[in-house]
Amino acid sequence: MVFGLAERGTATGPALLEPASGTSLSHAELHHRVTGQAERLRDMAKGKSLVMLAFASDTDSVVTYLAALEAGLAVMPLPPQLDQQRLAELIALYRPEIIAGFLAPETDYEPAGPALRRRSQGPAFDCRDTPIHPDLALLLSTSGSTGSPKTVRLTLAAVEANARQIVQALEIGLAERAPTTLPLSYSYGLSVLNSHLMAGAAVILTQEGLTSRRLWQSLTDYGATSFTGVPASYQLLCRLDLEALAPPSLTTLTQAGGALAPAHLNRLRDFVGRRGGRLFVMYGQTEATARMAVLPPEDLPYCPGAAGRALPHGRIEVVDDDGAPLPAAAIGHIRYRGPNVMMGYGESRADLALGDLLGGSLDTGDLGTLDAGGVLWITGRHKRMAKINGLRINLDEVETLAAGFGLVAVTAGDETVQVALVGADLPGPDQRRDFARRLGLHSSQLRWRLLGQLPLTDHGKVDYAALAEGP
Amino acid sequence: MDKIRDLFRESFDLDPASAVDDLAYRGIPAWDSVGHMRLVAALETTFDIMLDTDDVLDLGSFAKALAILRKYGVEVS
Repeated sequence: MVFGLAERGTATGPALLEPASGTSLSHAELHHRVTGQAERLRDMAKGKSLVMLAFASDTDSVVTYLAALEAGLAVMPLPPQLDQQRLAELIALYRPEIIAGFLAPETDYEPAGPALRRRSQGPAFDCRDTPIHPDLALLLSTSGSTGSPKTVRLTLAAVEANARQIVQALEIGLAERAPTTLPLSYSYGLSVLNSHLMAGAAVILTQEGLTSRRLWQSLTDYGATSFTGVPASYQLLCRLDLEALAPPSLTTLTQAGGALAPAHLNRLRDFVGRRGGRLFVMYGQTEATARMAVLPPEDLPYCPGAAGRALPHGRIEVVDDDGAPLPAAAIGHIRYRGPNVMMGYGESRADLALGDLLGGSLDTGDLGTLDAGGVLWITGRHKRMAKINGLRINLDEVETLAAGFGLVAVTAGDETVQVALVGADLPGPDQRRDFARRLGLHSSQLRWRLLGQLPLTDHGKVDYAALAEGP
Repeated sequence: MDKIRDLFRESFDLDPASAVDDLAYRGIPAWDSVGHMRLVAALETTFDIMLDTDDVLDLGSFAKALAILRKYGVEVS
């Protein structure tokens, strides 16, 4: 079974712990529930189908996710709080046969079981002319906050390979209990679930936020052993009395999603150091399922700020513009090779028929360098991306969304997105707030500028570098 | 009190006329943990105070915020 759940079927240790309801499932019970739900989905699907899933951090959602994989279907996890309009857009684009957890539009979908809806046969939808590639198992959104319709296509082999790589790199043992402190619809959050199930360990399913007292009470009651976060999570934790909040059982911290401020890195190192724990800094992308590199705790004192070493069975290279490998210490494009690389991107239902376009080799779009010891350092970004609160924001997508305001050019600032408007008035505060909300940002994270004209390169294209540096 | 209402509106990107007296943590999408810390920072900067961890976690509603600010000697009348 997926993630070796059948092999762990005899284990009586917990697999899923849900503080809100007080329920817990052993690996054997989880295996049983997944088998039943997979059978139900297989009957409903009648062939390779797409399941759109509202992936809440609860037992039912996890069972449906695992069952969809086990049944050989393709599953697309989405944030459960996704608004109706965005959901409708995604349904129209990807045309799922089955919708789980969401209230699907009644005109096209009929109830088909607890929290399940099946597409009713109708002229608007015909699945026969839109096949899904047999290897496609997981469709992940490339960006959490813009709700981008662009997805990453992953095989089950890639998802399981990455889970095993993480188990090995982090030495996740049977006794580990990891809380879901990041959304399960986010690749990094999902990798916590996948890797712990693969290890035969347990996941504490909680939807509580980091500033909720109930979260910290659950971590204490259920003996959480690790915590997973992005820089924004740790910035928040460092503001609180971590020693008082974190139960003594919590000894492992894992951080990815961008570089942590040096002060926070030191604070967290001291924290784990005092309790004999470990801090793992990691580097990853949804395009590689979730994670690509880890900085082992013993390297951390010598390489603060580094991204780490390739995970087992993965390889990191720094290459020039033509793809030729560069020597140590040279800065170039970061290329990752490994069993966890995606098949390619998907932008609509038609793309789901595509096979593997990358052959296990990923141009990360990041720039960096390998030092003499083989440790990777990120120095910049080649793709047009901003990173805010650990989430990637595609600047070209923001530009498309902002086109209604007039001629725009969008660049990344320091934890901000900068919108330059040409020959237009500054939108009113309401419009600016609405636009920020559309991107999942606070209005202070959007910087608006009015320009007479856009700077252009010699080739007549928008000179984004000049814009980003401009006054 | 109006000053505190404005800080809530700014922290959660709300309309200047919107009612905030009944707001609670996670009652609106903007009041998530990131929004929560933005509010904490705004209150601390404006009133020149430093909230301890218990107060940060207890600051779960507008009413709670008033009670906590009073504790720190802020005039909320």
